Amino acid sequence: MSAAGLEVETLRVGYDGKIALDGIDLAVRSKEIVSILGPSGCGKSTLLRAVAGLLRPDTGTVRWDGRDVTGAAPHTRGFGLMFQDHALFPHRSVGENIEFGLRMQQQPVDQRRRRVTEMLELVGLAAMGDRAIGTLSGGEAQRVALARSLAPAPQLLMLDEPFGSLDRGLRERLTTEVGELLRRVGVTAIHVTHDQDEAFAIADRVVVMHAGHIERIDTPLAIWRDPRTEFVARFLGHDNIVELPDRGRTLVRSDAIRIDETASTTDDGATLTGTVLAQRFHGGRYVTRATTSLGELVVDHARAIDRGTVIAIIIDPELLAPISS
Amino acid sequence: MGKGRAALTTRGNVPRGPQSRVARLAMVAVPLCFFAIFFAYPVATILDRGLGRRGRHNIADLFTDGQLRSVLWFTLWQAVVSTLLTLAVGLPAARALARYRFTGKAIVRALVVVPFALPTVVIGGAINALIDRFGLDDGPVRLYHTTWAILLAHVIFNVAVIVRVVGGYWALLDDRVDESAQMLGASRWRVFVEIDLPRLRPAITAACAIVFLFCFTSFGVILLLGGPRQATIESEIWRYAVQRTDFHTAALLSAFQLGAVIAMVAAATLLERRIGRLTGHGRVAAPRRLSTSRERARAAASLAPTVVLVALPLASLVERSLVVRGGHGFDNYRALGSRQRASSTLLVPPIEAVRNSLLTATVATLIGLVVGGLAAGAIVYGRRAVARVLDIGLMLPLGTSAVTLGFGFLIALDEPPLDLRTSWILIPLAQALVAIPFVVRIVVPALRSIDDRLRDAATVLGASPQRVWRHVDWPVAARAASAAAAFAFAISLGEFGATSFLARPDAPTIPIAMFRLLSQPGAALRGMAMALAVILGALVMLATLVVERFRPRSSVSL
Repeated sequence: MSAAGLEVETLRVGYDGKIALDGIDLAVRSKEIVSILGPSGCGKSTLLRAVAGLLRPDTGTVRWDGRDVTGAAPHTRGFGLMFQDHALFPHRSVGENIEFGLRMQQQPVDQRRRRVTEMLELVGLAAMGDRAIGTLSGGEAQRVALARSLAPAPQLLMLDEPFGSLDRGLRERLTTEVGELLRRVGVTAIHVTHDQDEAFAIADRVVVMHAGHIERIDTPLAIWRDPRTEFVARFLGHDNIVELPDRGRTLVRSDAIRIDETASTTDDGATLTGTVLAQRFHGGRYVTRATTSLGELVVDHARAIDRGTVIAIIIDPELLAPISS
Repeated sequence: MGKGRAALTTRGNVPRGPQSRVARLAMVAVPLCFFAIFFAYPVATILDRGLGRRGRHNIADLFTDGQLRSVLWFTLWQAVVSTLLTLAVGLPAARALARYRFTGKAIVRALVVVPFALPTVVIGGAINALIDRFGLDDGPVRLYHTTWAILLAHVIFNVAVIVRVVGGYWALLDDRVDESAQMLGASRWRVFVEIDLPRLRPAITAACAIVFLFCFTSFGVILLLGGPRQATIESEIWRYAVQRTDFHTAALLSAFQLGAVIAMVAAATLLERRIGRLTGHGRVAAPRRLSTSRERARAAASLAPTVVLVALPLASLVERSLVVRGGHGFDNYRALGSRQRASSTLLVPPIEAVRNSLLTATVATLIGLVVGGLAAGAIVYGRRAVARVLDIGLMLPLGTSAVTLGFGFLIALDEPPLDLRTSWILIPLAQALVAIPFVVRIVVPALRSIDDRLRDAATVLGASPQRVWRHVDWPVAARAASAAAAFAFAISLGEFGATSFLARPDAPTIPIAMFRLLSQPGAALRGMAMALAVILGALVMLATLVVERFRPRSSVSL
């Protein structure tokens, strides 16, 4: 089997007697951006390190464009890797950091200089090439790290929790920006995160990992709409998983459930009666917790409702998603 | 630390440092007086008398006389080469110990440090034993009385400095920076050259400065292993003073060496400050388990030179001490108790040296702790200028010619009000001078590591300044002081240079007795020397284990 892009086959990594990765199969097509999503300790960083060659798998193969690179040294693979804490070279300037990979490729000086300037402009840091690493802000350091890993034009760019150390506002802005930038450059990328919003914002496809294996691979929308397993549903932030008499275990997504203050509060087929337990204001909406005959449910609502109020909850049967056990 | 404890008790409201004027004065005055009386005064006296006399050489000869020039040249180049060799052997081991986790790591760490804590005479003896064992002095490869033996001894002795100082610093560096470089296309070697070396530079320069200093003033190793053509300034001072009684030339060489050492100590101290300043950015990498067999092989290869160089002589030392006519046994140890066996070279049974050593080392440790503890207080709490003078000044005895120190003591402290010439206290005093820099270096970082907010918290909770000291400063200081005590003890047990001038013939310490036994021909005497070396090594190892046990966790220092 030979295909363009990355192929990982039955990858297994043991670590300190525990299994960190157990039979991972993954294919990333050329120019595709894939996010690996999972809680800390699920093995997502280990997978990245194994693909990068920084860690030798116990079994399994890593192929690039059909070529087996499992045993190749990291510096010969032509892959790029960017860490959460940037890992910039503290003893070199911004420009020298970006230039490093080009020097390793033994590019001529003027070509290197042009490329560094181009990269600085690409990440919006033009004219900052002479700055010392210690003087950069978190966001600037992140951009330098990105420019550094993109400069040698890697065949595959891996980003390990790239925005983890940034504050929320900056993280959201950079996530969008980097996603656009990666597409503009046209690089194949694997992005690792524990934040579903970040994964959804960047990825063509999302890989959800759990305890060393892959739970699910699909597009962001498909996974969000139909998580299939309770773990994936919970991890994506879905609150309402209920037991329905006719359907069994079912996910009631936030777009499938609403409070109707005008409807009558009698339990019939279409509406569900609930009592408000608590409300939390969440920027423009109230996250409302209510007890119902199906158990406790969480529903977004536009207005504040007093605690103890009996409300009518409407669930759209068309949007329900089954959860396998 | 008895006096230091009282002196450091605070009386004011500010929780930082002692407020009492008496305490502040004692912290500065006691170390300064000690330094002035027992270092500056004797050294100045010997230099003054020596330089005032007529001798074979004058100052110009240092640069014109062929023989003196070759001594200066040899001193310099052997120190440079020894330092570079030590670095080459120690760096891979430092990396392996900093980056990897493996069974036996603690043993390797402890083993590496043993030779550093052992006296040079023992190392010399160990290499002698090795040469003996493999018959290297008369085969095709000749080591005995060659420069190679000296370089080898210096590497074995000093490799711990590289491994501990550089390795400790290396462990603090973020390993993702290396991985980033690797991912950008840098091979293992280029990562080392382009990424690791520049980041390690402060630690490497500081460690090399210390190693260079030790090699530059090498004495015991040269005396035991060197032939007539391997003379350092230090050993020449000894030769001129003791064998030729040419004190003028000896003083001249002493002054020259002291000047060179002051310059180097000042440089080393400055560089060491930079270590503290540069640590701590980025994530500290936890040592990784060795996963692949290739990785294991590479780590083993990194550690092998250090481990072999350190373990082989120590093992052969033990083996040689057990060699008796027609096999192995404890005869050499038993002979230590008899007066006859060594009567040609020692006035007392060699075993008495063990008692003398333990006694002098105990007294030297107490002196070192009091003076060094007070000096540490002055450096941490005192004015910056005072701190700097003490910091650099107290390092000087380490690099001062043992002969200068020893003879200085004999000449300067022989008339009232300080007539100590016949007193045994001279030996622990001289040894304390060598131990104090180590006490200072262990206690100062510990005191500095106490967060002032802890003291503030205790004060806010209603603790009086005395109680703040007792509950916050004292536990930390005491922990460091006990580590410092063990270090001082080990150092004075092994001190050879100055002691060799001050020890009375009927009261030798272990290193002195060893040297006398080794200086006479005869397998029996040599065997007894080896047995003494093993006893000394065991005593020092005991002290070192205590040091390891109490070592402040985060310190990068020795």
